[in-house]
Amino acid sequence: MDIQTVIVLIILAAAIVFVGTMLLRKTRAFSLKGDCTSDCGCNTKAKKLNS
Amino acid sequence: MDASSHPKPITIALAGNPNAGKTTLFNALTGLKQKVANYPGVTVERKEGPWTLGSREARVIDLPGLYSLDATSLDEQIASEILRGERSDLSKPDVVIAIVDATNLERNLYLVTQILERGTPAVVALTMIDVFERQRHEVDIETLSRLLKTPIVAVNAKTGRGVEDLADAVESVLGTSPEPLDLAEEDSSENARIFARYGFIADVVQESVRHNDRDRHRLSEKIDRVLTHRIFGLLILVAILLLIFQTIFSWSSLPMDLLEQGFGALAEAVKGSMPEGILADLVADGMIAGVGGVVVFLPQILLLFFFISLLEDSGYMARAAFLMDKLMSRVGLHGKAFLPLFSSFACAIPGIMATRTIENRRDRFATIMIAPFMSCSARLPVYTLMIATFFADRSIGGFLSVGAVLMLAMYSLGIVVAIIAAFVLKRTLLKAPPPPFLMELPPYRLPNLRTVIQNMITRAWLFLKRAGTVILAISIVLWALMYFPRTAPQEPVVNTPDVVQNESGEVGPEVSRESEQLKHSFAGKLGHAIEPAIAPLGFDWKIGVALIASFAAREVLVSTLSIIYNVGKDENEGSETLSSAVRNAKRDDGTPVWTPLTALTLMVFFVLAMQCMSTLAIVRRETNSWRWPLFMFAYMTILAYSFALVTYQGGKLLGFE
Repeated sequence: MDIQTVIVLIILAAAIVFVGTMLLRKTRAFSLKGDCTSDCGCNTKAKKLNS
Repeated sequence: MDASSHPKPITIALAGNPNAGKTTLFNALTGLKQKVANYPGVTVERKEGPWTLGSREARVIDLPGLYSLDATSLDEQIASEILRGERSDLSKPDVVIAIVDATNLERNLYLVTQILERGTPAVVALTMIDVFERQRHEVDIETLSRLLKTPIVAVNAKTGRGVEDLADAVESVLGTSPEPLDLAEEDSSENARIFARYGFIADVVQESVRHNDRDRHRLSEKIDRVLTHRIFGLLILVAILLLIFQTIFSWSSLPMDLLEQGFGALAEAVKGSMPEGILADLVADGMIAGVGGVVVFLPQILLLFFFISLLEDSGYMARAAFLMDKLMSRVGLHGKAFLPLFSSFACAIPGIMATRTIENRRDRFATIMIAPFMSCSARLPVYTLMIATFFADRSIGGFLSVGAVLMLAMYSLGIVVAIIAAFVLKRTLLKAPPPPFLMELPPYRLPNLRTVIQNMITRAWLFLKRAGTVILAISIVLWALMYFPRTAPQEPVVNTPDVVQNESGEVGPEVSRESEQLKHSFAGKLGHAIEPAIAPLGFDWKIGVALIASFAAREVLVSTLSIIYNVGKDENEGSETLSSAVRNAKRDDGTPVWTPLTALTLMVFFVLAMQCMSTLAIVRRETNSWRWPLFMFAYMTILAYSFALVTYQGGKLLGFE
C-alpha cells in the first residue's frame, strides 16, 4: 500500500467518523430528555419549577 | 411588613405579552444566556435566575408570554396560575415586573390592568421605548404611572438603561399592599369587566401618549389599501417575487461564473501539481468538485436573503402574511401558521419548531405536515443548476426571463400543494375548526441596511460552514463509493461503447474507462438497482445515485452530480463546468441524459419530496412519535413521484423533450 492510499484511507475514515458522529448527535439531540416531564425540546439543564 | 425584614427569599415574576422583551430583560437581570427570537412565543417554558437586589438576592422567574390572565394555552395557564398564587409548587410572587412593549401599549396594558386589579405589588418595565420614540411618539411616564397607580420605569435591557431604576422601584413596592385597581362593580359580568378595562386603557393612553406621526400613519393606511387588496395585493406580491427572482439570476451570474471557473482552475492546478494517483483524484474530483459545486451558489443565497431582509424590514412581509392569512384560514389553517411556514422558506427545521406557538395540537400538526413543502434555501442550488443549464437564455416577451418564471413556479407549486394538503388533512386526520387570529400591521419604514447586511452575513456563514463540514465529509464518502472497487489497470475494460461528444459537437462511440469504472463502483451498482423505479421519470442511474445521496441534505444532489461527472470523466477531457457536464452527459445509446423536460421533472420532484433527514428527525421530536415523520415521508414521496411522473410523461405526450 503506497503513501497516497494510506492518506486517502485516513481522510476517508475521518469523513466516515464525522458523518457518523453527526448522525449520532442528531439522533440524540432529537430524542426525549430523560429529566423532562414534557417534550419541550429545550435541551437545557434548567431546573424545572413544576417537577 | 418592612422590606428589610423580609424573611424568605424574594420571588419576582416577569410577566408580559409574547415578544415584549421579557427574555432580554431576564438575561440583563440574571446574566443567563437565552435565545431571543423575533417571532411570538419564544419563551416556551419558565426559567429562573438570581438577581442581586440591593443587599439581598432575589429569584427572578421568566414566565411564558401571555396576553391576559384568561389563559388559552397550557403555557399561559401555568403563568396565570403563578400570578394568581394558585400553584401549589410555588408561592405567589412578592413582586411582579410587568413588561410592557411601548410600541403596543394598548394591547400590553390589558394584562397590567388584570395584575393591578388583584392588588399585587407590581412595577411596569416599559421596553422598546427607543423604537417608540423613533416612531415619533412620546409617552409621559409620570402621567402613566399616576393613572395606573404603580411605578413605571423605561428600560433598555441591551444597553442597561433603567435597570438600576427598576431595582429601586421593585424595592419600593416590596412588602407593600397596593390598593387593587377598581374598574368595574364587584358583581359585573365578565364582558362588562373586559369593556371596563379597555375603556380605562383607552383613557390612560389618550392622556399619557402623544403621537407626532399622523401623516406617516395616514400614508401607511393609503398604501395598505392597495397592497392588502385581495386582487391587486396578490398581483403585486407575484410581481415583487418575479422581480426578485429575475434580479437574483441576472446579478448572480457573473460571480457564480467566476466562482465556478475558480474551482475548476483549482482542481486543474491540484491535478497538475500533485503526483498522479488516488490522492490527487480525491482532492480534485471529490473534495474540490463536491464542495465547489455547492459553494458556487453562495451569491444567489446572499441575494435571496438580501431581498427577504429588505421585505421584512420595510414592513411589507407583514402585508404578505395578511394576504396569505385569508387564503390559509379558508383551508382551515391557523393564522399563526404563517410565521412557521414563512420561516420554512429558509429551512423547515426552525419553521417546524416555531409551530409551538400554535396552541391547538391538530392545527400545529397540520402546519408541521406541510412546512417542508416550502422551498428551503437548500433547494435553491438544485433549481438554479437546472435553470442555468437549460433555461438561462430564454425569455418571455423579450424582458421576462424564463428562469425567473420557473423559479416562481417552483415556489408557488410548493405553496399550492401545501394548501391542498392542509385542506385535506384538516378535513380528515386533523379535523378541527380554525381559531380566530389577530394580526398587527406595523407602519412602513426604510429598511435598516445594517440589519440586512447582518442577516446576509449570518446566512453566508451558515452556508459556508455547512459546505466546509457536512458537504465536504459527505463528498469524500460519496467519492469513495464512486471510486471503489477499482478495476485493475491491466484488466481490459469491458468494451461497451460509451458515447462522448467531440469538439465539433458530433456524437460518436468511444471507449471510456472512467465511465465503466463508475458504472461498476458501489454507487454505480446502487444507482443501477433503483434505475427501474426512476426510469419512468426520465432519470438515469447517475441521477438515482444523486437522489439517494441528497437525502442527507438536498444540496448534496449538486455536489454528487459534480463528483459523478468528474469521476466519470476521462483523463484527456479538460475541465468543464457542471452545467456543461450535465448538458453533455449521454446514455449508453448516445441520447442525452438531460433535457429541459428532465430538468423540469427533477425540479418538481425536489419541490415535493421529503429529501431531508434532519427535518424528519425534528418532526419525530415535535410530534413525539415515529408515526408522523413516517407518514410525512410516505405521503410527500408519493406526491413527488406522482407529480414528477405526470410532468415527464405528460411533457413527452405533448411533444416536449
